[in-house]
Amino acid sequence: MSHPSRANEHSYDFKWGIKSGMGGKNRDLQFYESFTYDGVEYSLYDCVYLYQTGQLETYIGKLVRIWETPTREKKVKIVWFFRPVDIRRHLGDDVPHWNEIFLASGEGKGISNINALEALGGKCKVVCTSNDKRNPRVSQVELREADYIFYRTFDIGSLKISDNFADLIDGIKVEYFFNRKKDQKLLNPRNIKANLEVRTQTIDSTSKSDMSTLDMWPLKKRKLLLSTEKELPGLGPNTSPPSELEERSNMRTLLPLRIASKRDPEKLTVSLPGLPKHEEKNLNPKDSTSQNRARPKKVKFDEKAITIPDKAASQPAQNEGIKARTGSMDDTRRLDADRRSWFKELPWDKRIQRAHEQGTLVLLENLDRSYTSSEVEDLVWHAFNVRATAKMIQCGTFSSPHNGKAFVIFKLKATADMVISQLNAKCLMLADGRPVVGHRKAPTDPSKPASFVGHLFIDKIRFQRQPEYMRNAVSTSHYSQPNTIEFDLATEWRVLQEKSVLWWKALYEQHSKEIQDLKCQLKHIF
Amino acid sequence: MFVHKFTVIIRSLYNQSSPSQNLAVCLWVEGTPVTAYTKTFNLQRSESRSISEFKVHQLHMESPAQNEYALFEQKVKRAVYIDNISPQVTDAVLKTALNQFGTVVSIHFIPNYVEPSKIPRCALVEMAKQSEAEAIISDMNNYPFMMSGMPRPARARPAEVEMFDDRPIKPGRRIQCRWLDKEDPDFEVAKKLKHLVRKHASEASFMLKNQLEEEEKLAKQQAEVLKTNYKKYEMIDSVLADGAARRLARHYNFNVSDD
Repeated sequence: MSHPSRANEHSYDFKWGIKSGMGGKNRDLQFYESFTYDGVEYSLYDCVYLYQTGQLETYIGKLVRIWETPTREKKVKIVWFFRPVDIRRHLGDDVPHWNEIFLASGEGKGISNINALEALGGKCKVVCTSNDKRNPRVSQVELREADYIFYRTFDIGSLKISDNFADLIDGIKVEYFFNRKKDQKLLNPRNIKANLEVRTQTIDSTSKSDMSTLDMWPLKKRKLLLSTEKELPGLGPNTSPPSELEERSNMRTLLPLRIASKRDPEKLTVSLPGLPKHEEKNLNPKDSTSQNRARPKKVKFDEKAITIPDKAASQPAQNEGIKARTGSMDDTRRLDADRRSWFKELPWDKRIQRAHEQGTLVLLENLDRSYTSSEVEDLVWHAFNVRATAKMIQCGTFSSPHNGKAFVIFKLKATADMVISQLNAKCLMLADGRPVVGHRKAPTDPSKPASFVGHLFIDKIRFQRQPEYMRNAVSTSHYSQPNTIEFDLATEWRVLQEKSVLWWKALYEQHSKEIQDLKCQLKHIF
Repeated sequence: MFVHKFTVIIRSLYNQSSPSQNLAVCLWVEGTPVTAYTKTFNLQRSESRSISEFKVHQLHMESPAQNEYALFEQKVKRAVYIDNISPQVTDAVLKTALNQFGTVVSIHFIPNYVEPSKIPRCALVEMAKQSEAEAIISDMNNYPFMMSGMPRPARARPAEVEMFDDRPIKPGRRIQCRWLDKEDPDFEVAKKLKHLVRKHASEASFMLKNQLEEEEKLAKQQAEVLKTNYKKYEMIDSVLADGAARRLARHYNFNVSDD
């Protein structure tokens, strides 16, 4: 064995499957047909999610090649599918089906990429509904179970959508992109089970509910909605500053965390528990070169995306774009540093703290309490045309019944600013006559110990050495007995608790009355 | 099951609308991703055949989302919301505490993101059975329950849907919104409503502050009471221990028995 052995082989659950042969210039690449990663069995031509934290969307692609380099790096080549959002500037009047995606095709950069295998985030069930005679039909059941469907391609050279499938897509026979014939195992139960779709369900539901709300609304309202959308001309380009395609292509060079997190030891320990620090350093240069190798492929596509859709992309986007294209490796790292923490999401506490420091955190108030986080994400998408991560605040003792709150994390500070100013200048009215209020608020750190009064100790006893049996006794929670001083004191507390319940009830009743009084004045409640 | 729901939708439209009016009826299988059936038809008072015009057989009888939500509602009923918890209470403490009255399935402390950090912690505890949860709530309302300290008792209430972080989307609901700008007749009212939200928030935070002060006051006062009581017992102890009590008794001709 000439190559140095790497410790990271064991740091996550991974197993190679069927070998398919050697290849490469020096015939030193080992190709494979299948492998198991993180409990999921992947094989060639499976559709997969590639995901990363901090990014709402996953990417969907097809595994077209799997191999291991002499230095034991596991690589996959992915031919991409585009979500409608990715290519929305080229959609025109076309309204894609809610779960439709587009197969990349044509000549140009961005049709496929080589990625680290570790970027895989699960399998994705994609069904081709094309009427092409080369495409085996699927049953209704399969169709229903599919996460996505596709029957059109997006030509990345001419930026056109087409119903026709070329014979070769990125040098691979198109048959591999159509549905598999029945005898091939595409939809065995294990595959279905493996179909965990991380958080991105929300995006699908975003586009879904977008269309569905449109469909669902009575015609008049639909018109109303459309007209209001038109009334916000600046919204489109500004709200998603890094132009979708550009950003995507930056992200497309998907690299595992170890590159991005050189400066962030915390993330590092999260993702690479078994890997000693110095190893990580050794890895870096290699990965940077691979990043280098992959990046130029995308450059052209980047530029196209910027020049074609809108020149008025906002400042930060341009800066970012320029940095990404011309900057040194250091720059790119900084650019992505906060976006790339792979495999495990940071806990919410940290994410909102960080977002607050960066100014991308907005607290939305006056929502309906029963909204869920993903519905808030939909709402943000619908109202501002930006994607964001939202978290509905769980109700507790002191949450008002009239005021649902949610923290929303945007990608950029500029977006957060825009959202707040839009909400202030105009009114975003929800169906039941609630205007949404948005502002910045420092999140409370829940990990900080809360102060708590009312538990008493007798100092002397507390510091006395307790006999062994008392120290070993598990302190049990108990109901107090009515003949103790504890019971008397506890009753005083119960009285205060009951009193406070009444205070709050009275307050909320008054609030409710005040709100109702005002709502009566609304002329148009839908 | 679903067909039943289907008819309900038609009926309600039927009743509300005037006869022979062109209607766009949009139906969807609740929760399942966008299966919308749109049909425009001429509605007559006597007409009830329209249902058959829809391809009912294509709809699922029970959507997975509905099932999921029903399961979730069961879970809510099995859960207890407990507040007034000391920060010293951990998962383990809570689990042992409530395992006395049933089987604890899961425990989730609700993180406090928006309220001041002074408020006591609260938690959701899922029990194995709904009856267990109900018993805990009623007992804890009747008797003060001590957890990791005394005498401030913990308090239990039925859990609510909105307390859960992982709640599924309510099937069939679609959120709608629209933008109002300055020309809109409702703009002023909406603006007032927004002010009201702020006003209410500040009223609530004042109330919260008040309550926390009250609690602190009570805690202090009780600490005093306890101290005095403790002093009293200590004094009695010491008087008995050093024989002063007996001497005094003899002096006043009292009969003190030593038991």
